[in-house]
Order: sequence, then structure tokens, then C-alpha cells
Amino acid sequence: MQRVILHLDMDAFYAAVEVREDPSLTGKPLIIGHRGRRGVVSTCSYEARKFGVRSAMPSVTAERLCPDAVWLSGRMGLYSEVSKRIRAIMRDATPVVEPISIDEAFLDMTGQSHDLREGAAAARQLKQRIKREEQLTASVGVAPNKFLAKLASDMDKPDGLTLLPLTAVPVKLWPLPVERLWGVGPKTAERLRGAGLSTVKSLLDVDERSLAQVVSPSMAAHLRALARGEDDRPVCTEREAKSISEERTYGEDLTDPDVIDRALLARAEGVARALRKQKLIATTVHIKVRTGDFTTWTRALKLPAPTALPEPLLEGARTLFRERIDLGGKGVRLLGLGVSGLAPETSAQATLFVPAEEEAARRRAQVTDLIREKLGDQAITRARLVKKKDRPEPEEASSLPSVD
Amino acid sequence: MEFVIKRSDLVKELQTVTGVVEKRATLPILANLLLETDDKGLSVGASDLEVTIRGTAEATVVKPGHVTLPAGKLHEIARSLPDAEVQFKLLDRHQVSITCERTRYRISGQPRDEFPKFPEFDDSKAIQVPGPVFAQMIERVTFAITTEDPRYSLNGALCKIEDGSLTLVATDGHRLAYITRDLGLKPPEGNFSVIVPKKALTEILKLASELGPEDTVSFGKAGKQVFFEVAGHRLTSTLLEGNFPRYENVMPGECTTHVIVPTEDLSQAVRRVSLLASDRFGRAVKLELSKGKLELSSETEVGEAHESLHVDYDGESMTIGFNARYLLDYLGVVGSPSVRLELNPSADGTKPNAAQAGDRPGQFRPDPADESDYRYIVMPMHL
Repeated sequence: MQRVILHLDMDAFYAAVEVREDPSLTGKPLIIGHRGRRGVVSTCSYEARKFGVRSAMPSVTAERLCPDAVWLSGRMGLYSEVSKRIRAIMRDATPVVEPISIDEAFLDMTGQSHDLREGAAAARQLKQRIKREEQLTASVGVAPNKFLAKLASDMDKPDGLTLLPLTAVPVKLWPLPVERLWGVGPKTAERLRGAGLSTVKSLLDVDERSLAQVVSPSMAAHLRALARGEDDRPVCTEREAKSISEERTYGEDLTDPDVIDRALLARAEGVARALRKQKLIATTVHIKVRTGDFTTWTRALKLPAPTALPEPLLEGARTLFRERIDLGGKGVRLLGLGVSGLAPETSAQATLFVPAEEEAARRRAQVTDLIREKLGDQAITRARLVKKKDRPEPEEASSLPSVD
Repeated sequence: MEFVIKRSDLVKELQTVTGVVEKRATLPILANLLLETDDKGLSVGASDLEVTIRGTAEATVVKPGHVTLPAGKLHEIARSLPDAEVQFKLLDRHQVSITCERTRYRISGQPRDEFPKFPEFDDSKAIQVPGPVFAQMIERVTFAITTEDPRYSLNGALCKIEDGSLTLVATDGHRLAYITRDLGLKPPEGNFSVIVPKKALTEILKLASELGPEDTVSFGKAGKQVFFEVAGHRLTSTLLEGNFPRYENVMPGECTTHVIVPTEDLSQAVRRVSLLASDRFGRAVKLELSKGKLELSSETEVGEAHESLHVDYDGESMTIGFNARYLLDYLGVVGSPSVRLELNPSADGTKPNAAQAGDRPGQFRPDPADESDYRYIVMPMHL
């Protein structure tokens, strides 16, 4: 049976919400992000996109391209409220909804809709309801699988509705560059280009064996399936959080080891707290470091035991920073810490001998959580993280995740 | 060097000693076995620098001598030969010819002087214990040594003699196996407490399969080395340093609840129910004890499993989760027809409370009790 999959993508989501809240912004180029030397564009309105502004672009470039843009720093709380309501609308259409970020999701309509045409009708209703109830527009792709649906939603933005049946694959998919295939990053694309394979069609012109000489054999099979428009990934309703992370970009590159260490501590605190809030524990810690010249490292290690405490996260992050990264004397522009291998805190195996320092850390976390809950996030912090006059505090340029 | 040995005797001896040889030896010579012949017969030895083994095999010595030969190849050759007499003869340049009926091999060895020395011990200070008893005690604790959680990577078991009793304790931080037995021991050098590496214990168990019911095992230590004399072989091992965790502190005192379950029934039930347990941190199986029955269950996204066992129980209902593997490990070695599961130990000063069973360890003991005090303490998995 042919599946009917929808990919729904909200148009310039943060910007559209801001315009809805303040209609005087209508028609103006609007950029959500932190202005200034080190800021990054989080997202922007279509009017700003006309000037060439894009997500994740340095704010300095955006300012040059579009000097008259209106800048807002973004309100995550509001966006996630709206996102929740939109998800509820989608769940009315089908229980099989897989949110992939705050502003996009896959829906499996197989069962409700007999074919793609009926799927498109359902998509139209969905768009209308979102417009009516939230005054926001979405672009929807309708296709027999996730890969084609996502591709389709992007073909007619904003406020689009695109049907992409398998029969349209030669016309719509084959001329596209290989980067458009799911799983092809800059490195794979470069390797494929080196072998003279730049379009999706070219991957089908060579046989799988010769493609397997360029990329791994499993990748070769995967890419050719996608190029034929095939993708059997299911729409997963209960998409668990796979990782939690926090990162900051700094106004000035960080060079002082103590400042860097305090930044790691602050991120470890934040991530550990997020874990505890969601009643999760993590088995792996990773860090992300970017220097002023945009060299980026990500490194990960498995923790001795699953945890939701900042101390073991910091310990792991320090090890990674010290032993697995060579900055070559350069300063740190961006520093992030994340965890993965998440599981409910209740699934843990209890231990017989709890080290005294671990027990102390657990009590400390319990108490600070309680205080923060009652008196607010700023009510308590670590002495090492207290802002002091004689201790320079790194200026943070951006902390919003960028979303397209 | 020249000797003749029955193929079956050769295979048996090689099987016994090659376990000590590391698959990826740090020094090339450690991949070899030391073969020595004198008027007493053939002696075969192996070493990984920490654990060594040496034993004698029945053979007709034609000419005394010594050489080392690659353990893996030698074992492979011996197994493949027909069941007949095998002749070993040292040629020049450490080459050895191996002849059996119409088959002849010539393999290259290395001289003995490159092989590490075996530690020396004063046998008069050795402690004698009944062999089968000792072997069973080792078997009953060794399985609890694992290295999954580096915070407790002991990789060995505590072996202690105090007031005539022999005690063995092993733990991986999540569970602890403890066994003690009064053997009326009088160690010549007083009380004795060492941490023996897992590898040595595993090799002792292998050797112990040759022990008769009346055989004894003797052991002793010198400096940082310990030796065991088991079934005609001497096994030596470097002792592990560091402090063994304060296990006395986590041994449950009196338990408010207990139930007796047939070992095999429980083992089968755990095996079946754990098939649908999530294995993210080990397969968790839920045990629910209520009037007249013990129910085991598990669940994942795939589905759920239930099994109910009839038990003689009339107390309060209680629920606890355990890692299925921890239970199976124990049920596989306990050796008694039934096990006694004790729950809800009373912590010092606090009154036991049924609701808290899931936070406190469970304790297993063999039923009926035997001459040893054998306890297996397992921390629960939170469900």
C-alpha cells in the first residue's frame, strides 16, 4: 500500500509570530537574532530573505545586506507555546505526528487518505486551520515517503502545497544537486563532486559498485535508493529527545583557561538541570568548540555511569577539551556542551557503594533545583559563576538556536 | 630435548595451560608455551607476566632439555593428530620436529632464557583447603566481577582468612557476592587478606574440574604474588593493589520479608520474561510479590511479558526491579534446589517500610542452607 506522508514546515516561524504580535512589522524586513559583531541570524522574514539574509548568517553580514532591517532578539517561550498549539492541530488530523523541530513535523496520513490527492486535500484543510486559528502560514509537502515530502514542502515557500508523487521524481529530483539528499553533508558532497557526481541523476548513472568506491557501500545503497525516490523510514510518533545541549557564542574570543572552564561549568549546570527537569539521565557527554577562524570541533565520550549531575558532565567536558582538542593557541568563539544516550532517570541501576562526593553532588542539585523552582533561576548559583567586577565576564553574543 | 607423549595427554595438558596465554600478547615470547623435560617428565608452562601456570604431564623422556613453542599452533596441531604416540625432538636453532604416525611437523621455537621466570614460593607456609569446597566458593563469587562501571573496576575478588574461616567477596558496584565458611584454618602466618585477579580465579576453576572429592588445594603468598597448587598445576598471580570496598557496610541486616522460590523455575521465568525487557542499562525485570504468588514482568515498546510463580507467601505486597542478567548469573551457580529471596532490609534506626522495597537491595541465599554462609546482594533497578 502506498503511504501518504505530509511534511509541514512553518514559514519563517519566529519572524511570522513576531509580525502577528505586532502588525506594524508587516511587510518589513525582520531579523530575529542578536545584533553586533558576534551575533548570528536565528531566522528572518521573507522580506529580509529578498536581501540575501539567511539563518545562521553572521549578524554583521546581515546588517550589510539589509541595513534597514528590524532586529528582534527572539522570545523562545512564546514560540514554543505557538508550536504546541500547532502540534495539537496536526494531531487532530492524524495521531501519527513526528515533530522534528519547533516549526516542522511529519504526519502519516496513510489510512485517512487513500492516495496523495486525498492527502493534499487534508493538507489544505490543515493549512487553513492553522491560518484561521494562529494567523500563520505553513508550507506542506505531500509524498509517498518522508524524504520526498520534506523535499516537496521546500519547493513552494511560503504558503505552498506541493504534491510529489514517485512519477515526478525524474523531473523534480534528478536535476537537483547531491546535497539535497538526506545524509549528504559538505564532505560527502565534495567527495561525490570529485568523482564527477554532482546531480542526483548522476548517482543513478553509475552502478552501485563504483559508487561504493567513492562513499561507503551502505551509503552507496542509501543514496541510490533516495535518488530513486525511495525511503522507508517510518513516521515515529514518540520521538524521544536524543540529545540536550547548550552553546554560547562570545563577543570576544575566550583565551583565559579559567574563563573557559567557568563557561564549561555554566553549560554543564544548564544541561544537567535540563536533564533533571525532564527526569532523564545521560550516558554520553559531548562538547563543541569553534575558534575565531571558524574551525569547529565536536568531541564526545561515554560517561562512567549515566547521570543528571553537572560534576561528571564537567569532568568529561574538561577531559575532552584538554585531551581531544588542539586549539593551536587560538581563542574560543563558540563553546557548547551537550549530552546524549538519554534514558528516563527511573531506568537506572542503583549502586551499592555511592561515593561520598557523588552523594554530595546529588544533594546539592536537589537543593538548588528546589530553590530555583521557588525563587527563580537567578536565586542561586555556584560561587565560581558569580559575576564579579574584577573578573571579566565573557559577553555572550547569541544563545538562540538557529532555525530555518 | 626429546620425549614421547600420548596424543590425548598432550591435548589435555595444552587445554589446561593455554588459557593463561593472552590472545594479543604484549611480548612475542608470551604467545609461547615453555616445554621442559627432566627425569620427572614433561612440564608445560605459560605466562602473561601477571598470571603464570606450570604443570607436569605424563611422558616418556628420552633426553632432557627445554624450548618454547607457539601455544596456538601447538594446540591446533595436537588436536588434529590421530590418537597415537607423539614424538617431540629438538633440532638445532630451536626448531622442533613433531612426529605422529605418518605426519611430521617442523616448527620454530624460541630459547627458554627469553621466557619470564616463574615466581618462587616457600611451600611450607602454604594453607591447605578441601579442593572441591574451595572451587565451589570461587565459582559462587567470581561471576560478580565485571568491569562495566569504571568506578568500581576491581577486576578481582577479596580472599580472606580470619579466625579459621575462609571468606571470598566480589562486587561490581551494583551487586555483591559473599561467601564464608569455617574450615578451621590455621594459616602459618596469621590472618590473610588479598585481592586475587579474575583471570587467576577463572583458571583455578578450570583446573578444579580435575579435582577428586578428597583432593586439597594449597595456596599462599609471598610479597605481591600469590600461588595456588591445584590438580598437579601451580598457578601464580600478581595480587591486585588498592582497597576493597567496605562491603560489610552494605550487607543487609535483618530483612522483613522473605520468600522461597525453586531455583530452576525462577531462572526459566527470568529468562523468558527478560526477552521483552528494555536493555538500555541492562534488562530490567519487575518482581511483584503478593499473597501466594511471585509475578515477573517486563515491558518495552515491543510489548510486555508476564509470568506467575506460586510461592508460599502471606505478607504485604511488594515490588522490586532487578537486572535480569544479575539474577541469571546467580541462579546459574547457586547450586541449591531453591533460593531464598530476602527483601526490605531494615536500615539502621529506621523502621522498615514496605513502600521502600524498591530502593533497598535484595538478598539471595541458597535454600536449604548449606555449610557456607552464602549471600548475593543485588541493588534494584528503579522501575
